[in-house]
Amino acid sequence: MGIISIEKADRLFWLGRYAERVLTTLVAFFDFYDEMIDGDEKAYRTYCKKIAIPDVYKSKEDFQQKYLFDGQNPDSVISNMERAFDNAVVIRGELGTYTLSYIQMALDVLKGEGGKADAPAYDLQQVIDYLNAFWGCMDDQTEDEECRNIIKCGKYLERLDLYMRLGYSAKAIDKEFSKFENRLHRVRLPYRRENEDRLREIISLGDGWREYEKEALEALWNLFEVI
Amino acid sequence: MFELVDHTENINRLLARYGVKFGIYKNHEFHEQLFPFDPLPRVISAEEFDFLNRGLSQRVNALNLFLADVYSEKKIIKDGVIPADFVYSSKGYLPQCEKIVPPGKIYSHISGIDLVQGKDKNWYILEDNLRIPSGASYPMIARELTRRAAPATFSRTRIADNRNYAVMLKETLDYVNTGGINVVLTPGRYNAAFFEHSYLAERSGAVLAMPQDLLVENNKLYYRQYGGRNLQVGAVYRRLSDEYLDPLCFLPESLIGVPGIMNVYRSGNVAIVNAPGNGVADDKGIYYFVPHMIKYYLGEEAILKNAPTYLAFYEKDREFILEHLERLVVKDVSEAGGYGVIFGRDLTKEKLRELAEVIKAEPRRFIAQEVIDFIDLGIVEGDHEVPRKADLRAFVLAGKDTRVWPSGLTRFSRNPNSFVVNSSQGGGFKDTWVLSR
Amino acid sequence: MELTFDAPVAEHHFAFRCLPMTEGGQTCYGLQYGIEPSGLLCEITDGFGNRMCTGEALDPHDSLNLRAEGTVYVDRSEAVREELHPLFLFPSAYTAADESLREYLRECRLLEGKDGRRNLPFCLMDCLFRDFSYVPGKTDIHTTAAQAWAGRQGVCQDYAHIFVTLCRLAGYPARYVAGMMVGEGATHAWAEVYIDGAWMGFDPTHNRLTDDTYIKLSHGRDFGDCTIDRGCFKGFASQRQNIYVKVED
Repeated sequence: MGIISIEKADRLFWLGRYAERVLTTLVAFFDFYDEMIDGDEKAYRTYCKKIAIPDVYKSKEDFQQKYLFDGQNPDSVISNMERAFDNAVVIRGELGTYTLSYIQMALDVLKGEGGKADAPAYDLQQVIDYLNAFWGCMDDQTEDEECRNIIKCGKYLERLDLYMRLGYSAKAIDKEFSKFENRLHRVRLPYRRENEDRLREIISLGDGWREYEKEALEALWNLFEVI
Repeated sequence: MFELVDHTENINRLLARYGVKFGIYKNHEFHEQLFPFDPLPRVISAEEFDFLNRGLSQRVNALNLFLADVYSEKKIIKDGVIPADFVYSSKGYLPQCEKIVPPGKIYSHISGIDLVQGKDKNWYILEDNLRIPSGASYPMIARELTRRAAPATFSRTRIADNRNYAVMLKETLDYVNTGGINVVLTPGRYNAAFFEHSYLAERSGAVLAMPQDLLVENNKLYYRQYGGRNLQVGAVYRRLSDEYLDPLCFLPESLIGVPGIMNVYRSGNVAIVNAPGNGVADDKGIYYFVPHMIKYYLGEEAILKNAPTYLAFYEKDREFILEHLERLVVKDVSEAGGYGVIFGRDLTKEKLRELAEVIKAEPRRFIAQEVIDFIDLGIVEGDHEVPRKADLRAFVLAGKDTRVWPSGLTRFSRNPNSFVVNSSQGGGFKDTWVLSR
Repeated sequence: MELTFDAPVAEHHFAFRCLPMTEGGQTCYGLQYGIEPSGLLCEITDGFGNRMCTGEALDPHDSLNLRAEGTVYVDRSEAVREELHPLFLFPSAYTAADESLREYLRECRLLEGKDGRRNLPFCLMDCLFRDFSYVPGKTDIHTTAAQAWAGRQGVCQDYAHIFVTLCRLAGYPARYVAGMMVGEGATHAWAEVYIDGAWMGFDPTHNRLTDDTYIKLSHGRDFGDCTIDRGCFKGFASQRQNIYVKVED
């Protein structure tokens, strides 16, 4: 078993969360972007509301620019990518230089594309590619199982959170939840069992879970005691 | 070798991909930038490396004996070879280290010795770095990436593999380890050399530790694992400087230190690499005395020459310095990193007079050296190859024996008129090839 | 000795130099000590040869008590010859001279050998006692010799610093001493000068040589090397240090 400090466990967990946030929000962004091409110019407003970020944007163009590339905007994709990188760079030893490079490259693409992307769904495909490569590489190359489990706890927690907010199907949520539990039971991170039980109950309601959306999200957010 | 130039772009892309960067502070803000890499290597023949290997090992062995002496019996002082002034009023001398016998009796495990090659083909030592010399990671990863980008070059030319640095480092740490894991202690993410700390930890199999990850308990050092089980640490390759290392022993206001680590070290329960207190031996003033040390401790003549150096402390030297100030380079012994280096020829008459006054007022603070006309190395600029000043930082590792890494960090000045090659001042780096026989 | 905090602290690491040393004309035996709340203590000799107690109290606590009791046998009637560490020839953080101290040394030198004064250190002690006043509260533990001298007022630490600075400036190796005197009260500071191959104790605060009523805890370049308590902890709290000393003849 590897040697992981509290600090590193924290970094691994948050790397999982931010890398997942970038990936899932980019994919979701493309869906809303598609709607905005020929129809609803204000679709981004719904998007902001759903993922609970402040709507500080003036127009579709403004949104596209600032939500993706504005490093000053704490909710932007690039800010989340920076945070993923900041967490990743201090756990080079756990990830390996090889795996870490995908995070570096995803960030470099976002930085390089800033301000000139007129076809974001096309230009940013590379970010998605690198992040997927990161996850694959991490699975394959990170020797320590504990490390993989902690990152994945972060990843699936974030994914569940976003899927619930974005209104994904009950089936999709159920699938992610079982992946999450699978990792959760294998790490030494302290967590609240009662929250896990309540989440399971709600999710098992199928489409009926939506009635309890707020409660489910709260149970998820407060699942871990420290992190 | 010149086909490497064609691969420059590929190599640079790889360097960016792997985040080969160093940090600098500008206006109190942290920036990371790529360390400019030049694809043309410095090439050292096998015979020349043999010579350097002997000279550098000899030098580091003498420096280690000197450190052991200075912190215990002080024979070299009593025998009048080095004036007490240069040792015991030096900022680098730490009385807190007095009478500590480090594991394996090694003080300078990893020494970075800066040399230049003069136009006369002679090598001259410029400076010893015995505290936390950095830079080995850059040629290491550059080699890895260059081999990927230009494999043909490497199959044609027999070049000693330099990627063994991690193994050498691990052997050095293992040799002094008192029982427990090896850690690389970094001050943190926003340190100039953070890339190197994390890369060396990964490659040598040591655990990268932030100061808060380490804890002293019952006079032993532990790495705090999440989940509560602490692991004993046997060797710390620390990349933070002495004064910040332990707030109980040095600067009490240090927030990045490990409280109590010096007591653990004094008790022989952990190895600190490099040993605290080494600053007394890599002082620019002590540099003058290294050839004397070699003679005193080893009974040998120094194989590698110092640049001709004058000590303002000695009256005769001082007179000489003041007379020839316009052709000498004056160095402030308390500064590092290319700071506090003044070339007399760059100064106006008035500035020269001012400098002379400062030297007269504080002679102990200054040394002066002849400016060595060192050879230029070609670097690629656009489509051209242009000559630039370059030095070589050789890495000497002391453990079971003393060995020179068959490579080194060649740093060059990007400014055609400058002799200052430090990365903090905008210089770049090259790989250093040692040819196999 | 008792350290109290106005809020609980944790991960408290400490190094105390508060145990009588065995050196020169002083021998310490039968010493028993203990610490509350945590039990584990480790004894180490520091770079100056001082006895140091180190340890840690990791769990939250709002006070830390060290109690030590024992017997010290002091006989300074005979000089104990020992080797000089060259370090004590040079200025240190607290003992760097400024122009005013240099000028004062020149004045003092004029009196050397007059009025039955022996060599320069005696003369310096005399002068300092005359020209510097014992006034608590004018200086603190961070005050350097030059700063204290500028105000001409201070406490035993300042007397010792100024005296040490002047001696070193005059070429006499000198060191700072922290210790206790017979009686009940706080700790005291004085100095030692290396004369004829042995260290001799000077107490400039009282203008006398040290005798068998002085017990040494530590010596060093200056106060910075002889701190009774050095520690660091986690927590937003300020620390109060109380030292109770009782020395019976």
